[in-house]
Amino acid sequence: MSDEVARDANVEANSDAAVSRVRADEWRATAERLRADGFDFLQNLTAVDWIKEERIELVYHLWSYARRQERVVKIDLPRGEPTVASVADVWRAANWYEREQYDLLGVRFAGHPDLRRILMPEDWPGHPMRKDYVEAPSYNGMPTTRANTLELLPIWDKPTWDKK
Amino acid sequence: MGELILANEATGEEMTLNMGPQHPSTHGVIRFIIKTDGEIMREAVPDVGYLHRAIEHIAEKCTYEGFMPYTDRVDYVCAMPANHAWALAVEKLAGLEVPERAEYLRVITDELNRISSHCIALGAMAMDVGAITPFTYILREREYVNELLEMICGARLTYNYHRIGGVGWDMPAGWRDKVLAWCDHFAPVMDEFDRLITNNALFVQRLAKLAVIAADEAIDYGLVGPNLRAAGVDFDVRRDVPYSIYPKLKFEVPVGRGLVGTVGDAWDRYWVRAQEWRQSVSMVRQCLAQIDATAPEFWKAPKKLKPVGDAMARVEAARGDMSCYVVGDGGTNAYRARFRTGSFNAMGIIRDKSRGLMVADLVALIASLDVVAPEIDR
Amino acid sequence: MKARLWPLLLIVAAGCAAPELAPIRDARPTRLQRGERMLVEASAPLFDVGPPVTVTFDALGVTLPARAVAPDRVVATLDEDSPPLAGASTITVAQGAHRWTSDARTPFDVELCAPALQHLANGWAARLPGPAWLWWALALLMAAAIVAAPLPVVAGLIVVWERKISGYMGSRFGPNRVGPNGWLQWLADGLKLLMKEDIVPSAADPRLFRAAPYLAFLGLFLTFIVLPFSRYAIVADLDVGLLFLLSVTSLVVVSIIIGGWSSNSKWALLGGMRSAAQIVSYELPASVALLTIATLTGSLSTQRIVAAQGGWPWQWNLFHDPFTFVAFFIWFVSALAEGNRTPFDLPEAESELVAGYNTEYSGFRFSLFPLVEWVNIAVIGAVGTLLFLGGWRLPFVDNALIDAHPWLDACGFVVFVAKDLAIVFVVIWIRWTLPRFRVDQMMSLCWKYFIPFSFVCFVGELGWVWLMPPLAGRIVAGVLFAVFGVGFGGWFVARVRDNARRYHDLILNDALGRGDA
Repeated sequence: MSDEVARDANVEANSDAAVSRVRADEWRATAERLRADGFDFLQNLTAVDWIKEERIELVYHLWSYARRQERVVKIDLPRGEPTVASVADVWRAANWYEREQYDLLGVRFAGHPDLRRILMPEDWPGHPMRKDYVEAPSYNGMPTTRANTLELLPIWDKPTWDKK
Repeated sequence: MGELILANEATGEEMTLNMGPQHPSTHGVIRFIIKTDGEIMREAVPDVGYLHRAIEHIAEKCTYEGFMPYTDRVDYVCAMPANHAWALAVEKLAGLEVPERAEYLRVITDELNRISSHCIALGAMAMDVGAITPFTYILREREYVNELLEMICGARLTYNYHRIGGVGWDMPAGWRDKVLAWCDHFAPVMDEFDRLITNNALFVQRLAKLAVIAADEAIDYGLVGPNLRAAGVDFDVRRDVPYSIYPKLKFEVPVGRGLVGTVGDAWDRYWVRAQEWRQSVSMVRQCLAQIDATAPEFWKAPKKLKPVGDAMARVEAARGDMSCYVVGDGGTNAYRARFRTGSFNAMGIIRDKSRGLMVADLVALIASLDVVAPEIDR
Repeated sequence: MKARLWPLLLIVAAGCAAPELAPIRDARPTRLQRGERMLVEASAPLFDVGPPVTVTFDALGVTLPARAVAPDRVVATLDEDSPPLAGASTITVAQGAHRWTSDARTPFDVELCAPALQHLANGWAARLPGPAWLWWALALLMAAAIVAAPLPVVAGLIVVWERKISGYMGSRFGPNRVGPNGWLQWLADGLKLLMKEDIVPSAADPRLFRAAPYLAFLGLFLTFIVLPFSRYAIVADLDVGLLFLLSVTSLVVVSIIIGGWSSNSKWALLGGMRSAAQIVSYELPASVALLTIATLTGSLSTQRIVAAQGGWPWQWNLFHDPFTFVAFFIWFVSALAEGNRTPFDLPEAESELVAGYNTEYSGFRFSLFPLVEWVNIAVIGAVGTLLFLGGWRLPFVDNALIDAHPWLDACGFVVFVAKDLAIVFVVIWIRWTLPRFRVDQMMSLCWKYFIPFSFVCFVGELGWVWLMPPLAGRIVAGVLFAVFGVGFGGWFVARVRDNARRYHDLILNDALGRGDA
């Protein structure tokens, strides 16, 4: 277990100082330990796509109501195969968070009871918030782009803007 | 989702109902797939995403300053705190300072918007349970708030008022007196509303002991805001993780007490919001009294905004603790923006709470959690 | 415990000590029309079948020819020349030298009624060519048209009135564009519904689907037969008026089930079944509450019930005794439930989720269902008025005065309609104020609370009528009127004034000081 995780809880509330980096295979054990330590509110889960560095970074923000204390855990996952253990049974709030990050960025959470898309339709191809995402030209026969409205008005003169 | 529908039992006893994306409720476009025997539900599975507008993706295409109007749409019923969350996150990321007058104006508009958002929440709850007249009364009051906010920023619903580094405009002349006059006007309205619906025997009978959410359950599912406080957890971002000038204001935080049923039932979630109104009015008055002592500067616009790093800001929106996490990589646009909203978490609890409820109770449950579609889907 | 047995013992003793029955036991009907026959029953075989018999109303001095159809039964006929009959009288039957009289302590209330439709048709048939049945049919159609024609207008006006009330109660105007201040809105909506496409779902049962709305309308329309709008403005004063009312309103239940089932849609069926279950459940306390009044009056005829009350409020059945007072509220709330009105409108409001029985209906067929619902409100008001609020009775006015001055009859009509509309206003007011019950709460209210209470009222009323001396009864009625009539009315007026003062400034003043309120 990394040293940073073992840092003591004498950290002020509201400070971002308690940031830990955890390896993906250690996350499950760390999560259970943090939960037992009193971090009962999984406040936020973000996945950030660092495409140039070939990694996807998961950022977990945890909060302890009893101690009024925040803790941030960051996990790096390889961009080609971003998989990490699910903590949906440690914090039930994680159930929907993990579905959303799977939907938008393609992070797979192993052990999630119901990992399916939540915001996009079930048969949507691709993960929209990836930096290299290109939208398919049509979805189920419906085109995904529209012509520029201004180009569609042949009866009007195209607006000319004064170039200053 | 396909397998959920096809796995429906073919005994003829159970049916799958669709409470479709369009339904006559003000909570927005949300779909529920309800498995029921006609009276009692086996479960109600929410299907969200009908209002997904990729706001977080758009943040990557806009500059930090230019993204502000989009944050209104994260929760258009209560847009000021969303503005505030984005401004706070970017200011933390870039290490910017905000003039004190701007902080006061931010808090005044936040609290006014909280009142108008609770107007919708409580009115819609009464209407979903069947009483239509209180909703029309409360909309009448909300019109006044909309007009006040229109005077200060030009818009009635999606304000785009806060800026990175301050607020867009100062108070117009005479605005303070109008706000104070409205506060005086609103006090008996809250009492009238209480007399009309809060303690109404039918209303209480419909909501008391309905979908009780205990404190540890609420924390585990990530409920925030009035939903969490109704469950008995005494936590408010404004008091416990203070931001802006909230430390200078005196206010109480109402916590659910189970006055007519159990702590954490639907009536408690209603009652907590009905108490928060009064606190907000008091806060507005305090701010207006203190704002005169501030310097006239209200916006310190940053010259160059290309921060590196990440920052998290939490504000107490009307629907709870809204957190905004922004990652900057040195460009003019955010590298990643994430809004975590109270309604998103509240939707997660509906499936588990709906088991064994009657179909009519589902409507009351959704209304008591005060979910709005824009917050869920962004 | 023993103390409570004493009244029972007294009743039994009174029964045992009853004197022997008078020779003439019964005569019916006592309210006759010319051309009708009256049956007189004896308590023993007294007559010879064959020789002529006369029936005399002693107090009225009228003698009618009759004949014995059985040793203990005599039939008397009122022919066209019979003199008018009105009043209480004993009946004497004479055959040969024998005379037998009915009990002097319980005279029969005999009355010759206004000519009926049948009589009218007979007159036409006698004077005009064509078969008699044709004139009968025409007379029936004419009466039906006179009753049915105002119904859509009544429904429409009540709809507009409701929308305006709900508007003003909700800080807004109701409809105010079509017609003077919006009062022709019903015409616009009715025409619109008539012009809509008439869709019959392909999977629906074609005959039943088409028939259901008409059945509902029929059930409602038939109730108008027995509603006494004034002394003479009643279609037919049936002896079993109340029973008739209850039974024809059940046709509405049948039509709801038919509508839901024939739509062939599981949600329509569920909604229809739920609605029907609600109506059928609440029939019980409503009927028992009506029985309470029938017990008090001793008759099921609606005109009788109205006649038994007086014009002044303390003479109404409402304040007569505590049991009728409670019965009024039980009946009123049950009637709300039967009419599917808030707070009992879950079967309809749940059309957010589970559609009601009228989902698949469109156009004219659909318009009949709301029409039935709104006219039902007016019928609720009418039934409440006639049973509890004194009907068309005017103070200082009795039947003889009405016969002498026919314009008083029109006054009675106006009074009836005014009281009816007052109840309709309360029904609308309740709808726009209260939230609605859940289905199980509604059912438990009916079965666990209303039914026991209504039976208590009924039995209590029985005891009251039997045992309470008249003076004590009048005192109790006076006290009830003072407390609940005057006291409550005064409190209500004071409260309305207080609210108006408090909230008038709230709403109409310029809260933001803009100067352009």
